[in-house]
Amino acid sequence: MRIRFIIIILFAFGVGQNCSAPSRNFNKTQKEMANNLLGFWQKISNDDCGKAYPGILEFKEKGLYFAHKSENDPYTIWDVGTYSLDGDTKIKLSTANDAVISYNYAVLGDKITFEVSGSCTVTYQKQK
Amino acid sequence: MSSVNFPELPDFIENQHGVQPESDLTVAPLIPIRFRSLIYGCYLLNYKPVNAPFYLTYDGTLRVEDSAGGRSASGDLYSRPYSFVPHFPLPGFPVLGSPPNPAGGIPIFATKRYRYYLRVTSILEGFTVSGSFTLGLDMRRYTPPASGTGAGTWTTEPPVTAQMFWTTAPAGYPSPSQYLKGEVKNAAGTVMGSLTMGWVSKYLRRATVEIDTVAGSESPLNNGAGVSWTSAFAEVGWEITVTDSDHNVVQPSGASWSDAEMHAAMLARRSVSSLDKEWRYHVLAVKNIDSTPRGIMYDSGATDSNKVSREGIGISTHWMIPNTAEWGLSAGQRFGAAKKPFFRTAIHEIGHAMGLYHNTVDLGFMNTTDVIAASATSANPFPNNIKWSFAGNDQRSLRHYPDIYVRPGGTAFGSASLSSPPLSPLDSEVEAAGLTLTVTPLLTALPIGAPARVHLKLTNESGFTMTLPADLSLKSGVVSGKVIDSAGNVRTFKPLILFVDDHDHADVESGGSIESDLTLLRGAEGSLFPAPGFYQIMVDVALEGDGYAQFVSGSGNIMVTAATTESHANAALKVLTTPDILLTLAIGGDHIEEGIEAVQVALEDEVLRPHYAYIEAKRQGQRFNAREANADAVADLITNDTVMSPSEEAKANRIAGETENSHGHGNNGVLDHQ
Repeated sequence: MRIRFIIIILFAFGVGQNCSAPSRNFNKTQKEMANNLLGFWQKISNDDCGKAYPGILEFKEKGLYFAHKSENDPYTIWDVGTYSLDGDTKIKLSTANDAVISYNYAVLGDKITFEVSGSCTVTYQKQK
Repeated sequence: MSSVNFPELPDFIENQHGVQPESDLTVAPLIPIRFRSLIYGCYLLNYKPVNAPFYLTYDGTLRVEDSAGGRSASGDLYSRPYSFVPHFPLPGFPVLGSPPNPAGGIPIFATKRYRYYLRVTSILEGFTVSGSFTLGLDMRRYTPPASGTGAGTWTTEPPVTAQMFWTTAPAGYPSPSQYLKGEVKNAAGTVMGSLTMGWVSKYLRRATVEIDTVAGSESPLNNGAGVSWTSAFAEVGWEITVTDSDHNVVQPSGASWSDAEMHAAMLARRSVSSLDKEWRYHVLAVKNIDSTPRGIMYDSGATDSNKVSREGIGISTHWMIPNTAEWGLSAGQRFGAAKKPFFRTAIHEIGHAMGLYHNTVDLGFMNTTDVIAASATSANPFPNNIKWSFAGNDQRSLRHYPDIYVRPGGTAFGSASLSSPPLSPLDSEVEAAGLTLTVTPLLTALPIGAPARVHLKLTNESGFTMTLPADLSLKSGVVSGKVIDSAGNVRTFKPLILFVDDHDHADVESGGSIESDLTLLRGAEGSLFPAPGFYQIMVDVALEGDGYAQFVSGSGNIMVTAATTESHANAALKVLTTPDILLTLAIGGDHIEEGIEAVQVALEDEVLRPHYAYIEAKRQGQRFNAREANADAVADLITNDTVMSPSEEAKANRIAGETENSHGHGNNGVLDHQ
């Protein structure tokens, strides 16, 4: 009885370890994604619905981003603040009035597309 | 008249007389000379247009202030209400409302009656011994948005002047000697109306901040180190009255509040007040907020349920400051108990309610807490590195933005504009001592249609180490300038893209320098070099001081030569008449078709090709959407004849290296380019 108990505990421990391993791989992927975000991104989409979003985004270390605006657009919804990844498909960005909003986003090659509202997306391309 | 989206803030005004202000000084009894001046503060205005019904009159305020850059003044006008009194069986007759009471200090008018922003272009700065001075005004008529929320539009009316004469103030004015009247005239000298102005307050604006909290949440009253609402806003000329009101606001759905819940609580718990009679901003301190960790100006956009903008803000008291190094002395604390960052956030959010945006030019109120924390050092840990004031440009906005931008219930958040016209260095900026800027054109003779490449070198000659902008490229945001042709025509240039973030700085020892290059083609007025002839290129580098701007200038000269072939003439015409070519030069990409087409035309001309080859190579050398970087095209374009600044040459080598690595092609002379 005691041996079975020990075996069960060992098995359970083994299962627990196997369950924790995927989460370590998940965090590693998020870290890679965060590293890939670093740098300057230029808006390449021209839809009217995306006009309130800045022409250039810069993602920096420590979870900070800065927007670089055109002279004709003194106000942009994203101007400066924080960002954090929320899983594989969401990113949280703080906005011009300090709200923190979660956006669906997708990265394809050197382009990143944010779903800023139900039907509106803005796309940026990584700058070298 | 011209329609613009926003009125320009006033320039600093040149001194009409170079005497320090002091009023009513009689020099000698036999030769009485009376010195007159205008003192700092708020003046009650009345403007009555001629040839208008008697019931059409405007009341408003004029704000006069002095700073290191000089004297500035601005004002606003509201139409006075009137009503029709029935007089059956005859038609009713209009009755004009009562004028504001000067004894009541700074008047508050109904938002819907807002009509004009007054940009003062001329005002007495020091003394005068005459009994009058010239007041110059640009009057900007405001039309509210049709939808009731949003920005509204501005229409510029022709400039006017008024010779303002001192006269005895009517009863009720706190300073009988500070009252003037005059006729307002247009440029032709035609009288447009009459204007009176009388001093009513040493402040420029006034408002109330009401604070309500849930039980267990602190009120953000001060920073615990001498900075309060009163002192913080006195610096910008605002008289703030704080009402620390209810402390038992009920949590509707738990400890965390949505924006809509905060808005509803504001409407329910705010002391009875009319925003037409009082500028009242509301602060609601709750334990946690759904949409943000620390604070939010929730009264914007869809959350603005009553369509009255910027009335209130929410601040969290129970957010836990992360226990990590960048949070310095506040690490691990509950936010409401960390007085300094807590109070700073409250002021920051009220700054948003006053129409201000984030501002990373310094570590002042409108920068974000995260950026300030990240900027701290072990020698100056957060929150000690907080700067307890508004940045210089925010100070100016708070003093001189139109009322409709700053008052609660005015324009929607996001409507106010930060950009004002480029201020003349003589008006508002101070030339920085100890620095020289040399501007050296790459080519002193330039074929028409070619961009001018100039090298900038900012040298510290002060004898001590100075902190200077690390980047002098146009994208840094600190560089602007103008081009003056032989006829004296001025064409300006400034960054195409403005950068919000703090500019990188470098400590430069005495004798050291910062260098960069500019490629100039077009500016606000169009082509910078539209015709053959002599041009002076003047460049300004902006440096930030305390509440005013410093600058350093330099200049260089070029000669633009005429087209000598038909091909060159056609290519130059194409380049000069294609505005989008500037976007292609600055941004690149394949999506600016007209700009790319103009560059292609220039490349086909043997005279202009060398001047545009780098621009096209830069575009070809970068991926765009499905198009891969084209190493062969880069190699074909960059030859020994290609005209490039040192910065462009360095970038060309990087691009060539990257395309070589990705495609295995040679770079055909780019690395050997001299």
